[in-house]
Amino acid sequence: MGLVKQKTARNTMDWEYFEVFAREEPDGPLFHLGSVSAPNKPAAVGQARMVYSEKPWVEMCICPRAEVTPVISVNDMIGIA
Amino acid sequence: MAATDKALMQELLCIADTDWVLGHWYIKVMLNGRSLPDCTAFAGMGQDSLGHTRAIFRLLEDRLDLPEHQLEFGRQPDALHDLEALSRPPQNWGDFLMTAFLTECAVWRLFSTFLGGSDQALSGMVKHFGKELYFHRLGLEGWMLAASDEERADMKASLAERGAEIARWFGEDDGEDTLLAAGIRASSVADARAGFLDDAVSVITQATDLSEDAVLEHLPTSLPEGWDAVKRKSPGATVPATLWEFMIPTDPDTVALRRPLAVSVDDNLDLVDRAEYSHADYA
Repeated sequence: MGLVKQKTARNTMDWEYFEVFAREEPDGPLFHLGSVSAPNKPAAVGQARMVYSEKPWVEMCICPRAEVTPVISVNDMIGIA
Repeated sequence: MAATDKALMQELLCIADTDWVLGHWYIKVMLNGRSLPDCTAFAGMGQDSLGHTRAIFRLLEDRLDLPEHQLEFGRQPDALHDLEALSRPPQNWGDFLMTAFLTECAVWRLFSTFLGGSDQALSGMVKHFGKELYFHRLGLEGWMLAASDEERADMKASLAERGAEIARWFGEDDGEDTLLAAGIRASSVADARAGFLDDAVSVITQATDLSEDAVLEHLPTSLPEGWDAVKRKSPGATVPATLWEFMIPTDPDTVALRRPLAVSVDDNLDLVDRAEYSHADYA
């Protein structure tokens, strides 16, 4: 049993990135845990829950990186350029 | 053993044994993930499934006064109540996705019949496991929706080949259910089956070009000759030998590694001061 040899090549560079956030206490801060890359939102939600399961979070959410609006950015001179 | 205890044991073994085998499927296919989070997700799903299995085993061993770890280490493959569709290894990525998804749906729907039942400990376990199993189904659904044309064809072939084996896991609704009558089960197996069909149709019609009727055609209720209603499978269907060796290894070194922690901690092995290391002076 094993499927590695039959794996279909996929261009994972096209996948969307999702940022993952979670809260440890109901009145605690929302931490940025990291990110996952997935072909769609259901897969990203499944991945986020499985990958970032190190603590019993009371809340977890994901956000497409493309939907994040920069306020201060290392890449752009916002307000000047 | 009381009739309800026996019925509960048989039913929970169907769920736990299926999750046990499925958990090892996940571990085996883990490296087929397309990215590190993807591989990690499969590892997490395998860990969840094995954790659920062992929790159910402990519950049964406590209730039935069985020796600790007997259900995991004291049985042979022919004593397992696992879902027979898992008795053949997946042939490709599409086959894996379809089989794992349908199995996850079936396990959850059958297990959820105990949610809100009179057995509070079991009902709480269902609630807790349900929160985790939802993400298994969601992750697999995401992959199914992202399938390539070739993988989509493989999923359809898999549904045609294994769909009936998974759908008939719920058995025939003959009206006699000891657990439902005793209140341990809050909803019937027929309800669970209906929920399973809803789940399957909802995702498969989106992930493939199959119509609702075409999907349902591959998920019939008919039972084969000699159907074992207790183990919910056909006679002779059993875990493949190679997978069983992976689940319960007989190789001495692997056996030593895989023993329960409660046993292995007694060894007091010293892994640092071993004879093969020379104490050279590096100064």
